[in-house]
Amino acid sequence: MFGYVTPSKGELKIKNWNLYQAFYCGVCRSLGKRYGQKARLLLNYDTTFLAILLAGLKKNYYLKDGRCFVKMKKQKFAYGDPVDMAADINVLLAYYKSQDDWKDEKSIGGLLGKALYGFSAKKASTRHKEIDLAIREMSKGVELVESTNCQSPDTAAIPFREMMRALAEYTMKNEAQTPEIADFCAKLGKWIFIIDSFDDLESDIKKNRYNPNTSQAKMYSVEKVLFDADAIMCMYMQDLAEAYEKIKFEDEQLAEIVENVVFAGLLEKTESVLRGCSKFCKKRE
Amino acid sequence: MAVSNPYEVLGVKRGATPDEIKKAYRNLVKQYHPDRYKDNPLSNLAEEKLREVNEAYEMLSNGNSGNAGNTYTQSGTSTYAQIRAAINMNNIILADDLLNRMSERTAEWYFLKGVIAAKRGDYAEAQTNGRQAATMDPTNQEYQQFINQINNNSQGFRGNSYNRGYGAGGGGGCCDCCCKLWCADSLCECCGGDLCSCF
Repeated sequence: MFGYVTPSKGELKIKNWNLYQAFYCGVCRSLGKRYGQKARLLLNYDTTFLAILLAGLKKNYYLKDGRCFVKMKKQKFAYGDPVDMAADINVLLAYYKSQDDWKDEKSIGGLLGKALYGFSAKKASTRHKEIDLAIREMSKGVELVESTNCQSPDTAAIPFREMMRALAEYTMKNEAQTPEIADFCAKLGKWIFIIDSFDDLESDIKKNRYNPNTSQAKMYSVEKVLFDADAIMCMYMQDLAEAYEKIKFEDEQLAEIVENVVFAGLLEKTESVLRGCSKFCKKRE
Repeated sequence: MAVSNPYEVLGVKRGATPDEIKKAYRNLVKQYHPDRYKDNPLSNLAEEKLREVNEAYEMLSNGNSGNAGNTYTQSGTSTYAQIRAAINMNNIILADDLLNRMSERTAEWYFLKGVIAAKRGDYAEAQTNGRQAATMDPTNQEYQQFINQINNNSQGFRGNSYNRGYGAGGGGGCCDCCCKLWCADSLCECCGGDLCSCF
C-alpha cells in the first residue's frame, strides 16, 4: 500500500523537484536520527508527501545543507516538526504493513520487518498513542472486511480511509483547517486503498487471497474490471481535487508540489497500474 | 447471507406475537441504523447485521398473514416509486434503507443501489451495481445510460488536470464546473428529476 502517492517528475519544476528531494531526504535523516540507521530503510514516498502537505500549511520547516552518505553528494535537507511527524508515521505504518504481510502471506520480509522494527514501532507508538490506536482500529476493521469477504471496494476502503482521517486529525491538533485536511487525507486514503486493490487483483486471484474486486473479475474478467476502473479512479481523484481546492497553503512552492501530486502524479500512477490491461492502452491512444 | 433462524436473529421466542416481533425489529434497526455508524470503521458490519435483521423480519412477517398493512411487505413497484422519490429529494439514507428492506433483487434494485452509491461518492459500488442492472436487463435504456455516464466520467478529471497545465491528461479540456454539473444532472435525470434544465 506504499508508493502510490508520488509527484509526476516530468511535470515538476526543477526547483520543486529539488525541494521534494530535500523533504524525502529530510524524512530519511529524521528516521535515522530518531530510530537508528536501520529505520532509514523504511522510508517511503507517501510519508514524504505527508511531510510536504503539513509543512506547506504553516511553513514550519527550514532547509539546511548537508551530505547524504547513501548518494554521496551534498544537498539540502528539510527539518522541522512536519518532517519528524512524517518519520514517526512512517515507522508505524511500515511496521503495521510488515505485521500484516507476515500474518497474510507468511512472507520472510514481513517477519524480518516485525523482528527488526518492533522496538522502533514501540518507541513511535509511545510518542503518538493516538496514531497507534488509529492503526489498531484499522487492523480490526481490515480483519472484519477480509473475514466477511467484502466485495465492495468502497466498503473495504473504510478502515484505511478512517485511519487516514484520524491520522490527519491528530497531526493537525485541532488547528485551523483541520476538517479540510482530514477530509483530504480520508479521500486520499480511499484512493490509495482502491488503486492498491486493482494493482493486486491479478496476483490475489492467483494466490487465492482476499481482494474486494474478485467477484467482479470472475463474473466478467480481470481485463474488463481494470479497463472500467479508469473511470471510477478518475471520479475519486475528482473528489480529492475538490478537497484539495479547499485547502489554503502558506508555502507556495510546497503547494505547487501538492498540486502536482493531486492533478498529475496520481493520474500517472493510475494509468501505470491499470495498464496491465492492453485494451486500456488502445483507449488512451 | 441466508438467515437460518429468524427468531434468533431478532432475539425473540418462537411463537412471539407480531407486536413483539415488530418491537424487537424496531429496536434492532435503531441499534444498527447506518446513521449511528456513519463514518465509523465498523459501519459495514452494522450494515450486514441490519440486512440480516431485515431478512429475518421479512421471513417472519411473510409467514404471519395477520401482519397485513405493515410497510415492509409492499409490492415492488410502489416501493421503487417511493425510492425514486426519495432519491430525487436527496434523501439518500431513506432510499438506501428502503432498498435494503426489499428481498427481491431485480435489475431495478441494482440500478437504484448504483445511483445511491454514486451520490455517496462510492463509485466502484455504483459501477458494479450499474453493470449488474445492465446485464440483467440489457434492453433498458436508462441502465445503459447510467453505466455509460460512469464510464465516460474519466474525461472530467483529465480535463481538469489538463486545464492546470499538466500534459498527462492529453484529451479533454472540458470546463470543470460545467462537466460536474452535467454529471450531476445526468445522474439526477436517471431518476426522472432534473437538476438543471440546460442539459
